[in-house]
Amino acid sequence: MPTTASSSRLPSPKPPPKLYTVRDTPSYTPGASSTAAFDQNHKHNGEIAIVIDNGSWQTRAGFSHDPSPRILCPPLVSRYRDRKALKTYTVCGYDVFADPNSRAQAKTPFDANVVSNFDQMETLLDYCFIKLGIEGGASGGIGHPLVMTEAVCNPGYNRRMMTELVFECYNAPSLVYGIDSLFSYSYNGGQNGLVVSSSNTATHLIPVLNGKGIVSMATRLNWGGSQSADYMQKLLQLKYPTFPAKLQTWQAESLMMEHCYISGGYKEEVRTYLDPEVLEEKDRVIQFPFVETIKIEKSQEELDRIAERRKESGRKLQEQAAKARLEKLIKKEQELEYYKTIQARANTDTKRDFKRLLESNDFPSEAHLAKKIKELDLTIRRARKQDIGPEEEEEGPKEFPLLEVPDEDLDEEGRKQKRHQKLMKSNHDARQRAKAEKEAEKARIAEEAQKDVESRERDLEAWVGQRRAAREALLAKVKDRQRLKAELSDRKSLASQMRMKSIANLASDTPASKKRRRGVPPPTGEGGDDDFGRNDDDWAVYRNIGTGGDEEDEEEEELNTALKSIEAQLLQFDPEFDENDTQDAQSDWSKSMLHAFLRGTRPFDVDNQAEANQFHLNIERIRVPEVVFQPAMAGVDQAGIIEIASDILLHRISNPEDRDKALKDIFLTGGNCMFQGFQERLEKELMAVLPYDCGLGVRKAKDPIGDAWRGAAQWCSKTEKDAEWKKAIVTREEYLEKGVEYLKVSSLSFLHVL
Amino acid sequence: MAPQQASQTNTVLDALDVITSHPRPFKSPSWKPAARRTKTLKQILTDATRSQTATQNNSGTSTPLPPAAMPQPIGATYSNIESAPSLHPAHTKKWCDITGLPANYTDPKTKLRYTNKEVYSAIRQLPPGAADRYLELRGANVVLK
Repeated sequence: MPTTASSSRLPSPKPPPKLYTVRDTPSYTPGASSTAAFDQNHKHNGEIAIVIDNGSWQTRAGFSHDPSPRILCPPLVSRYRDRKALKTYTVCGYDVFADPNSRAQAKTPFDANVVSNFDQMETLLDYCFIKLGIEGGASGGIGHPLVMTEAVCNPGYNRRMMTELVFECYNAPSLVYGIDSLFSYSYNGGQNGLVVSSSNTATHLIPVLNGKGIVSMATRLNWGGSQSADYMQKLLQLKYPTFPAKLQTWQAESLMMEHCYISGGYKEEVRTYLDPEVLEEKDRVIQFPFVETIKIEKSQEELDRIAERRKESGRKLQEQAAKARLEKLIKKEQELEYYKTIQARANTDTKRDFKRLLESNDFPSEAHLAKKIKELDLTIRRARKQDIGPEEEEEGPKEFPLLEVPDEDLDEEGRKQKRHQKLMKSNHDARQRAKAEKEAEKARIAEEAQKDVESRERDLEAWVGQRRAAREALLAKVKDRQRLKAELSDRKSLASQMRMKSIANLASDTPASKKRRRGVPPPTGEGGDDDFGRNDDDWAVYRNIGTGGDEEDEEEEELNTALKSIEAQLLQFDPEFDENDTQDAQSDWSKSMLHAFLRGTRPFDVDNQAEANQFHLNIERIRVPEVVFQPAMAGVDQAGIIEIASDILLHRISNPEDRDKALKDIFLTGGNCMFQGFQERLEKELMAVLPYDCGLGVRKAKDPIGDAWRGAAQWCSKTEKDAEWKKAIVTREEYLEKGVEYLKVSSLSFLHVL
Repeated sequence: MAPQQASQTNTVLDALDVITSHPRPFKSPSWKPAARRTKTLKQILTDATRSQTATQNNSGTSTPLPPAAMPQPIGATYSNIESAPSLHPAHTKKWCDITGLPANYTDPKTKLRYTNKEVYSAIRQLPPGAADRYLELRGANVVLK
């Protein structure tokens, strides 16, 4: 019966899951950022500007007449001192990944979205200008106007430092700053709208009216792609605390970019995410690279031989032990016999003689003798229940004729035989008695079983109730043991402290507290002898201080078998107890939500090394990018983008005409908004908070990452005299005359006062 | 450098280290960087607030600027464009710290939110310190200084 039941419960075989891989080193192709040939015609053309989109995730640099940036690299600078070669290397961009040493030393000049380390910034700019092939203008310096992006509301200190660097170090003829997301908006042809720029370190919302960014209404949410990647990394580290490989931040980032998406309706989707059918479809299994260690398989022959050898030695040991037990039992029986004769003499002997007899046998009183006899009787009885050696095949002579013959009538040989027969006889007798005891025990068990059957037939309900109670008690016991085990793993828990106390007590020569239990006589010995061991429960202290180990496992096994037998009985006789109620079925992996969360929809094999190196991405796929909408999820005490957008659109833009224009063009840009479903979700949620029929329009930049640079390049490639960028740019002369604080207002950058 | 020493150098990095090997004609030969050019964002913002309050406070002692030369205040600074805490009641929704599912309960001992009793038993068995790291993800951990 159980076999059919368990086979029906087995899940139908599923095809193995699709595995997604993750690299163990960052990708690096040598020469990826090699210098593009510099256009000779434009080499000394001072009209052409150098455009640098100075982002915290990627540096993009090129010339204003290029269709796309010539340099794309992470803003990483690595300064690494090789002690053997006595040489310091400085590498930038993707090149830091070329060597493990330089990779370990890679640093970014950014703190959040502003530049904080200008030494590294200078190195990075050097790298850009070298790679762009700048050979210096007529009067030294870079010889081209410089257009750079910067953070929204870049602090005065950062701008001062950057301006100083550009004019003093690179002798730039002129310089202008702009905001990356506004460049991206203008590149995508925006005039009136709300720019939602979710980038690497922050998310900005900036309204734009008549082509002019209204920075006074800009709002920043301190959450971007880097924070999301960090969040992903921490979530996975907590989800798999014993994962063999270490998840690097860049790995978490690539996992996030590849697998995360914005949920259309988060609340509803997350609720059913771990349901088997949904999970089967949405669970992503990530296989980490691992080296398989091959265990040497032993052949069946070898295994058999080992098992045989083990069996043999076990049998020998058992025989020896049984023999020793038997001898001990015989000795005890003789002792008991002897004490019984002493006791019998109490009636026949005079009081004085009897007392002397007692004293000669180390008994202070008759009561002690009686106690001794009782104890012996008990131990013998107990010993008989155990197995007394192997059954002898031939029982040997049942008669022991020599025993009746007095010693005097025997010669040397006969006496020897008599001694032997004596031993044999006591041996035989002990065996007989043990057999009888065993039979009695068997009869008792049979009787109990009979009674059980009777009681069941008499009153099934009561019987079932009893069994159920017994099962509950066993379950409680198992649970208790698990709890204790868990508590012992915590050093500070009460259970561990009690254990330490017991150990300290056992180890000390003078036990600290000896609570005398009632009913237990005081120790007989005069010296430091405590009565440890007199009571069998005393030994439990050793069990209390032990943690785990074979003995514990054995007990667990016992509990489990007892539980199984009760459940089998219940299955057979209780109509309301079926397969699904058993402990096995309850702890079945397919019922466990946490199993679904950690291991997906398939069983987990602990010994499978490939599976041990797998991550399952499920709820994380929507949980990580969701933070932009619900920053409180990741502990960011700020409003989400929907709330910010509705606040800007409904409250802060006071002119209704401007508002209506802005509503029609919600513009998404920046790498963090490239998650699938971002645009739809934003539209859906904004629709819910904005007035009905307001003509809401949401669109995404054609290239949310690269359009900022292209926008800046387009802006400054206009050659006419009164182009806007020419009015906004600060020349070197102006810088020298008016100082580092001097800046002009333009539509895409802004004057900043500090 | 002796030739045998040179052979020990890292050839990969040698090729990539353009900064030291390449001439940089675009750099001003007289450029001397300031001694200290590294400030964390926190320091930058603290310094900015301090200098702002300083200019406000000593306005009487120094010569006041003519009104026309005063820069037009815009008022947006790096720190004040940060979005305010959410006021929307819907955003107080609670999620399970372990699984991310909707959470209806809070464990009184660890203060972790959880979704059902299975997760609760998992919380009970968390290794020491893990509960704090979960709370840290939500910014709800208590840091003793």
